[in-house]
Amino acid sequence: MITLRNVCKNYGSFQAVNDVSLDIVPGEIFAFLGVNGAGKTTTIRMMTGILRPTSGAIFLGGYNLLSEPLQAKAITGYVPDRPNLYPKLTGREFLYFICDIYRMSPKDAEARIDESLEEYGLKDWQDELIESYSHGMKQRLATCAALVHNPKVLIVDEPMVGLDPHGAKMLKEAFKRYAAAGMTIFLSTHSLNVAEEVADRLAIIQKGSILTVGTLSDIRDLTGQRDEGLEHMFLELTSSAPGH
Amino acid sequence: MKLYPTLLTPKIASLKNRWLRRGKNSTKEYVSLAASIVMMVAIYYSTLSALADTTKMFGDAGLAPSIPLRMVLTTLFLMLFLSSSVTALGALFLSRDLDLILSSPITRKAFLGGKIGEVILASSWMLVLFGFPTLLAFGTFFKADAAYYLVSPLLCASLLLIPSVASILVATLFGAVVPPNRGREVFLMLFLLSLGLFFFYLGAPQPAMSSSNDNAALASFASFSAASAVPWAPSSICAEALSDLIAGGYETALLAIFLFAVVSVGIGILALWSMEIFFERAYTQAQSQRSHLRINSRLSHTLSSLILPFMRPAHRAILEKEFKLFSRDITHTVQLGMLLGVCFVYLYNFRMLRNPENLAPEFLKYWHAFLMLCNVALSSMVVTSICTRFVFPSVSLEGASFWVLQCSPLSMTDVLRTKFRAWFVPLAGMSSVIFVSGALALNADGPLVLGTCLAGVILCYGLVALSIGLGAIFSQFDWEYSAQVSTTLGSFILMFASMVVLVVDMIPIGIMFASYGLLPEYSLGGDARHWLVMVSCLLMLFFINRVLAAWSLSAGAKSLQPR
Repeated sequence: MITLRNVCKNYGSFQAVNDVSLDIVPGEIFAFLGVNGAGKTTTIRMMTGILRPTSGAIFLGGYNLLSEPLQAKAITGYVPDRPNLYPKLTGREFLYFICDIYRMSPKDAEARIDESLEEYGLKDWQDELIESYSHGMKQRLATCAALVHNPKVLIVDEPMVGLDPHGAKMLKEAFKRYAAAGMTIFLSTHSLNVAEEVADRLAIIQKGSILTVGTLSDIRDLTGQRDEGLEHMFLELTSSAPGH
Repeated sequence: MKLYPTLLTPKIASLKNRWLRRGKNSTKEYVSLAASIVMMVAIYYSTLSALADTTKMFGDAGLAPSIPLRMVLTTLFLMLFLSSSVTALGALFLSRDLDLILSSPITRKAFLGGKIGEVILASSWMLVLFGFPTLLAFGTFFKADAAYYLVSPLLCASLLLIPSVASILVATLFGAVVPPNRGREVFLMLFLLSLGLFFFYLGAPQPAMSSSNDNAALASFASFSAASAVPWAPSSICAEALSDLIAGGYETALLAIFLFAVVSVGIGILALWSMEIFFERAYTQAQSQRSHLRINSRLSHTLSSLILPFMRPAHRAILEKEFKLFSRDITHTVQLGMLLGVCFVYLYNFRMLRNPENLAPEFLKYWHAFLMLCNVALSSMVVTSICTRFVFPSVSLEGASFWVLQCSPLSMTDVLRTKFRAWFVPLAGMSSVIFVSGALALNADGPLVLGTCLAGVILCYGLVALSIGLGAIFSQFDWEYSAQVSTTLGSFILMFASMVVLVVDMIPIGIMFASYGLLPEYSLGGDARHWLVMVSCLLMLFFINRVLAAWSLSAGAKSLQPR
């Protein structure tokens, strides 16, 4: 469902992402881990069509993001790390806007908006301007917007930032539910417990290159630490990587 | 006192870093710099040429330098006041750095000083680009001595300090009276007020110019403002002082510098006083949105679907968003109110020129044709100002939310085209009113009014597309408050480009109006030659603007592609 083939991104002489290749199957929750500045957000921004790779190819649902960007974007939902939404629209108006640009029928849009607002606890705030929302509420609204058009692929950058423990728990359960329904979820996070709890497979990126890809068990085998948690393995892998 | 420059440090450092770290892709910076230099040279030579022509027109009586200086300074003064007021409103209440600044241990005086500096910094480029070459041209033309070149920049700077300081006072008082979340109501009020003024204007007795050489009337007309004729206005005092400097006298200039400094300090004290009393209340009002505004989102969405049923939902969504973001932003409301005021003053002053009593009847038609061309040219400049203030920033105003459109299944061409439609329709309506009002004020015949109206709509088509395209090319998404976007160098490039386009556009329009003077009388269904000329000229005009629009939107979309 998501394929990255030798993706590179250079800013002048600086190589932000170096030869990243990934294959993620339908219904999978894939966690993308890395320290600050490792290249997670750059990779995600390329996957959402905001940045253009210097080389390589990205396929979403079989569509090449470079040659068929509109088709690829139509099946994708994106939750950014910073929920910058239009401050002068109300929450509901923002969702109408998203439904319209994703070409949903008015009837489906109404039903999905009501459902999403209810699910994410924003019903009482739907007619308030977004500028009056707290950070956590904006994050929840951004998630609603990413899901309202029923995407096949969901790309999430740091989903737990700004969420209270209730919101975080709710989101983790929601991810599992969506994946069970067939949605492919690409999750970039610092929160190793989130990755450990929800991800089917994970990748660790360091200085723009993939260090390792696999299930938690694969990574345990790789590090030879059968009883350790992800945090311990992550710290070992990222600190023993060249150049660290 | 030490804190004033400290508060400005981030702005100055940002400007410095932007230039120093412009990287390999710095074409835009060089284009801006080159265009600035070209524009300054053009202003210098066109001022020299205008002074020479006007002197010829005045004949033996000679032209007193204070008359054109008054016109120039009044225009600069008003432009700076308009620009500074909007900047001040954003800097005082909406800027993103306010939480940091207000939570730090700084005095109100230091805060005021820092914000005045910020306003001056944001508007100073306009003063340098427009004021410097103009003053230089006056000095060259009137053969002023070295004292003029030394003192005049100081004199003008002290004059233009007044609008910058006054804008802080106005913004504080405005913010205290009008909560920013009441922008829509203010917008509606201004709209009704402008409608009232328009009907008053149509029904008012017609003033007549006693002579085409009437200095006061000419000054008033050319500066778009009756304020230039007021002797105690700061711009008039400054014009007299500069005039004395040209003649070799210093006394008036030194007195004027002292006077302006005193007035600025006086207004500054008033601003500080009003800030002590009103700022916290105004800032709290600006920040507390929830208790004031609740919108029926479902109803507003249904209404837009009913009003625009023929549009594709994706396009309608962008159009609806544009309208909502515009009408809910208080800084836009203030700017629109001020621009409507400028339109009204322009139309009112234009009426004075239509009946010169001492002109031979055989020249009357030529005079009217000339005035019609002036009407189109000046109305186009009003449209250009509106485009610079509202249309050009529309791409940048997506700001940090631009990712929503970048990730959406809409091409940038689609996005820009929809933005173009969103602005073209209301602006075409508004500019038609301005163009037709000018033509009616000149008692033009029906076919000419129709021609003017169509020319206005076509010009608007090109100017709006150019503004959207250049707005995309010079887009800047990391602003601190929305008013910053229209004071960037990109907006200046737009003004420059618009002037070039208007010069080209004036060729077919000029032919259309000239044929009015050269060929026999127009009559509906009469001489087909007039209609042929008019239709051909309008088609040529449409072709020019169509090519311009296609190029602008395509270049704009290309510049927004992922890199």
